[in-house]
Amino acid sequence: MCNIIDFASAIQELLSRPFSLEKDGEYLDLAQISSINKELLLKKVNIPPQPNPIAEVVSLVIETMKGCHLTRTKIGINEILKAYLLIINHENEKECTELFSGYLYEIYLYSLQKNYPYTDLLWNYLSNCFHVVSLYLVEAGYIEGCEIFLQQIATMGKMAAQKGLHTSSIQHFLHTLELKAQELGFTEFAAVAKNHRFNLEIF
Amino acid sequence: MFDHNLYPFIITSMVGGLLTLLGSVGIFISIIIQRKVERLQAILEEFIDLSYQSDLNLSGKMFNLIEKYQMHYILPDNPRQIIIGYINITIGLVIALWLGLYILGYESPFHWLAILYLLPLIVIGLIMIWFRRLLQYLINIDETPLLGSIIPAPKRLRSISYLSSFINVSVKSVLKQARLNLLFKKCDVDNPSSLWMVVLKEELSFDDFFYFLVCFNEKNPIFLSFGEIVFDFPRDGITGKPSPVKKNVNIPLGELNITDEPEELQANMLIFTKGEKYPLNFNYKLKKGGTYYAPSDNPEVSIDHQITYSIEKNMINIIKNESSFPFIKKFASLFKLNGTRLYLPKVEEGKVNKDNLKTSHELVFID
Repeated sequence: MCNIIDFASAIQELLSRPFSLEKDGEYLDLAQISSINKELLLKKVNIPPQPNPIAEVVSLVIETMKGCHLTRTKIGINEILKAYLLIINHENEKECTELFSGYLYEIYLYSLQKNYPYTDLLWNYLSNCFHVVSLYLVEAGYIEGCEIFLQQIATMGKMAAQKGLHTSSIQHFLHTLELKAQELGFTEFAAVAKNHRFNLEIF
Repeated sequence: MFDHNLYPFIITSMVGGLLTLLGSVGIFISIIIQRKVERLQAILEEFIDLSYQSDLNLSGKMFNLIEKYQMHYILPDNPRQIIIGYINITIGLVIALWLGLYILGYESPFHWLAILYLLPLIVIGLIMIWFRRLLQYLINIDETPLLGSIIPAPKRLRSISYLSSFINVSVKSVLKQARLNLLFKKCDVDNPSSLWMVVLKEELSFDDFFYFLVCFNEKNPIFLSFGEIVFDFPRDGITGKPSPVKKNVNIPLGELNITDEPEELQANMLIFTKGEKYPLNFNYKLKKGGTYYAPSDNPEVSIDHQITYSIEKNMINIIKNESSFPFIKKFASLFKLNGTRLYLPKVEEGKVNKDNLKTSHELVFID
């Protein structure tokens, strides 16, 4: 890999490509269908999967983690989150959040590896990003999306707490989010945030 | 009929048998207690070891350890009563039989020297009662002085003063796990001129320390509060479980009026604990977010070597103060460890004297 700017622009280029959130497409995914027959198999066997620029970016980010380039990893995560905030809208908030938070979780899981030296630095970075992203989601009214996002953060936070990583910023941000949600009148969502906060360190 | 010469010996051997039983019960109990104490000490050591690793997040682990400690600490009520009942009956029977032997061997007329013969019985009776109390102490560790000093009660593990004065742990790293945080919240959200409530948040309920808090708006003090923080958590009302430690505790410190509602406020808090001589200094930066002020990041914590104190007769005695902390000198005579929290709401108006101090009566709550 060349320099950081090239890396960032490569990622930005990938993320600017159009992609669809639809899972089905023409590609035959055995996990997505309930039954199969020979005919269908023969018909669809040569259809390639749909382009998925986000998965490409995620694999690039994981490559940077293998080489321990923390700055590049951070840039990658940052770009993914920015792309997420650009793509999300009121129609696709559920699917979009599920997709993106799933990919973030992948990156996070890789960072928990024993031979990855920057686990806590990256975790701190992620916590800081989550704060801004969730506040944006709540303020923009993407409550359903934010709930899914929080669920994923809580899962990560729980694992982090078990590994001895600091979760004070997550605790603190869940509390801020709760207050913000109450202020904006989303009482149910505030209760969800509170519940996550109380459960974060119970294991 | 029985042989009058043999019968007292039969009774004597019965008493001997009973006493042997009593002794073996004592041994049996002490073996159980010894194992228990070993277990408790192992947990205690694990807890102390944890507190040295300040760079890790240990709140969850500490919480679990204290709960585990409590589980081993409390002996269920039923076996306790059975053991005490057995001891009562045995001792009662032995003394009664002895008395019977005395009566059997008594020959009239009465001579005052006969009372001297009763002396051994009285002494033995006293020793037996003392033995009973010893066993009782072993069974009820929590309410008795015998083991209380060796094995602390679970709630002592949340006491910063205990941890710092009896066990040499770093107060700073323990309080780091408690994650002390400040929050200013509007009491009435709909009222724009409503007062703000100052809340001290603790994610793990460590207590038994003295705090001195000053809040600033661009270096002008606007709020002052000081007092001792001690919790008294009752048993859980629904499950009946005792709770030595809790999570997400909120301590209302007082109320204040923030006039122009700036974007940022600062706060400094000193923490005095029993086993130390320099206080800890927490430095907060609070950012405004609608109807609340909350810290934007983790507070800076340092040991303040400019202030030296000692604790005498439940009072904080400031020996040396070279810091720029305001109001310490003025209120130092009120730094009493009596579980109350005092605050000064109208610092901005210059009403800084003892008459304007108010007591925060609001109860600690979980949120």
